[in-house]
Amino acid sequence: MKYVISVKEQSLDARVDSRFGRAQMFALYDSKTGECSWHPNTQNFQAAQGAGIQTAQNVVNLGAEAVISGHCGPKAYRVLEAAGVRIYSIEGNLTIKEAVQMIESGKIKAMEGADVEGHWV
Amino acid sequence: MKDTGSESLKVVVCSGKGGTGKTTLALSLAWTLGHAEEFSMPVRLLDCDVEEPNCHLFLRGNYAEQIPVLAEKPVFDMQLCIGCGRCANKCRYNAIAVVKGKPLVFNDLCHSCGVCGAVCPHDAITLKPEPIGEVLVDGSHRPFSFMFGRLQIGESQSPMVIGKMLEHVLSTGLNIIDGPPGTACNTVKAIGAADKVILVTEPTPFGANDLALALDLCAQLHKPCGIVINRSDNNDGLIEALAEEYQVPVIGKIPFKREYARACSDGLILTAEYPELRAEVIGSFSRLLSAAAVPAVVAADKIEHDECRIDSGSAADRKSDDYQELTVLSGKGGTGKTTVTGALIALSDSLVAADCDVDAANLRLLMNDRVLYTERACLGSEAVIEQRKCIKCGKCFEQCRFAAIDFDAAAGTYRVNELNCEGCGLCVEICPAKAISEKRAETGNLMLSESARGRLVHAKLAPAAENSGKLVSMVRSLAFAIADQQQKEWLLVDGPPGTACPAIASVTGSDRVMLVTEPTIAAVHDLERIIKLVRHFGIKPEIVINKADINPTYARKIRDLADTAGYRILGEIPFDETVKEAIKAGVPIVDFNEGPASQAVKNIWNRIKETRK
Repeated sequence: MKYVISVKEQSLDARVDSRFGRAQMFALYDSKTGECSWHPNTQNFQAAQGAGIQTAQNVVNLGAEAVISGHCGPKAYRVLEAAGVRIYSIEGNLTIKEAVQMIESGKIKAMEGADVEGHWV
Repeated sequence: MKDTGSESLKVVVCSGKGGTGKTTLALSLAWTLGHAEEFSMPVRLLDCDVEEPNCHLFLRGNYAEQIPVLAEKPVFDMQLCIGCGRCANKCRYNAIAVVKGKPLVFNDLCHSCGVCGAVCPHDAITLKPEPIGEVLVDGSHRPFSFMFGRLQIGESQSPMVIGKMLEHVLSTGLNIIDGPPGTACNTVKAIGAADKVILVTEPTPFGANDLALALDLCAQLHKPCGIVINRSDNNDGLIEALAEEYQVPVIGKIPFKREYARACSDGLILTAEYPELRAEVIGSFSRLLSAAAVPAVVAADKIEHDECRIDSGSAADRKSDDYQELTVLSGKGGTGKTTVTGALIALSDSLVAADCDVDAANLRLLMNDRVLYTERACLGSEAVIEQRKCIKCGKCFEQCRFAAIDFDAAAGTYRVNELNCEGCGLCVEICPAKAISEKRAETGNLMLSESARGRLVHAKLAPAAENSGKLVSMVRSLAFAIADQQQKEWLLVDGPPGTACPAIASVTGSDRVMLVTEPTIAAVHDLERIIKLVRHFGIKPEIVINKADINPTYARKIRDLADTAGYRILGEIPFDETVKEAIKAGVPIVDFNEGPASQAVKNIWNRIKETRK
């Protein structure tokens, strides 16, 4: 499974960043091969609106099959859902590997709706 | 009073910021002139403060006519769409996403610029009108006809609602327009239509600060103005000096009286209740007609910049959990938000402050700060027409949704009106001669200050600049970084008025939101609107009632509202004459004296600290 994870720094020990649309960077992690690549999210960093939408679009284009982040707003959710990407919401201070392990062992289930109310504009 | 001579006169009542008495004056003017026998023209009052309309609360209107305000939103023909993503790519507002060949539209982000339809290679997009607000008209209201506009909460296109209202001005008669607060695009839209402008202010350093911003805007728009000093105590030197500097006359004064404040809080029109004010209001209007002047351009404190940096605000747009962010909002100015914020800043010993009212930042007046660092923020873009290439076909002029292309009939040339240009990019796409390109537009300045109270991040929005919400995000970003770096306990955010982009940008992701309100009919109305906004972010607001004893009926309404919804009342501040003296002296109330208001604010701060999450 190809995961895209919002992280604060470029390291396999990096913690999952709770913000999705305005996360600093993404790790693209393939749990089959263990390969990991890094993708900055700078493009949307300054966006006044629609950061989540743009980010979700980029994440889909990276080839994500699942997204791991803290919270996902309704707009980003709509985009990811339309693309058939699963969304996992992580609470607490997990690293990339810990998070993937918990998901693959079935301890964390995919979200069934946006968990933070979105904001207009 | 002499007649105006012209068939239609449009007078816009504005202030750099809300809460100075703009609505009070607009209503009094309409009521008094409507009744005045010597004034023969019909009068119409238009409430163009569409984010927080209030005038209707003072009137018993019968809105027989309700006009929807429609904005065009894209609709896709899936038979034609090939999922190429060009529309999503060109949309400046991130309102379209295309994933796996499927387009998704987010109507609430759309600014109806039409660029998606123009760039679609297969004509798969049509634009369909959708409601974003409404205009309510009471044509038979007496002694003046009345209308007001209302933007749907969550929508951002307030200039479009104002534009709709301006289509309904009296073609014969006097139109009094209650304008929006601030100096951003909505105010430009209202003032742009004015023949004369009345600027309402109050004799405090804050009033002077905001008045100067409004005067700068009127100078830029070449509009003749007159100044009315509200809550005057005949010690108005600060405002009079400013008026002289800008060469604009002071056309009237409304004295400061507690009974006037009380009457307004009950939803009464001042001149209807207090006949002694009628002559002053009529006199002000006559002086406006005879003496209004376009403000002289005053040299601002110029800051030198080398170039426009694109990636402004390198600070992190994320928060650590080491400090708590408390955002203070009021829905509208004038309820005492800055007074309370200023006092909290004085009380805390571990804090960074962020002034997110980028339209009219004034927290620094209470902090006695020194600017450490200024950065020019260029967040938007603007079109430029290269005259040499222009074939004068007029396509840009016809298709721009924001009336941002001017045609100079004498010279036969087309030019971009920078104040109106949103930078949507439509003209760039449709120009057959490829004569239009984009340049980065200045949004304003981002500043970091040092003071004895701690650091302050603030900004100054360029007049009519787009992207005020973005500038708010930048102010918060920088403040996050400073709070982190200095390991402070608190980040205090003084929020902007209204419910549109800047307010949204200051609330999203905050830990706590404190709403400062007062027991008046207008403030309670605004409180309900701002609560809707805050709730949208999943935040339970906490409430402070300022001047709590001025009107027991409305104070009870606020308590009931908080009770029912389970919102905590952090405290009530009694009406205290010395607050005004403290404001006038530019000193936080808690440093000024130990009076009842000062004590109340201290208790509020203790309660906030006790519940630090």
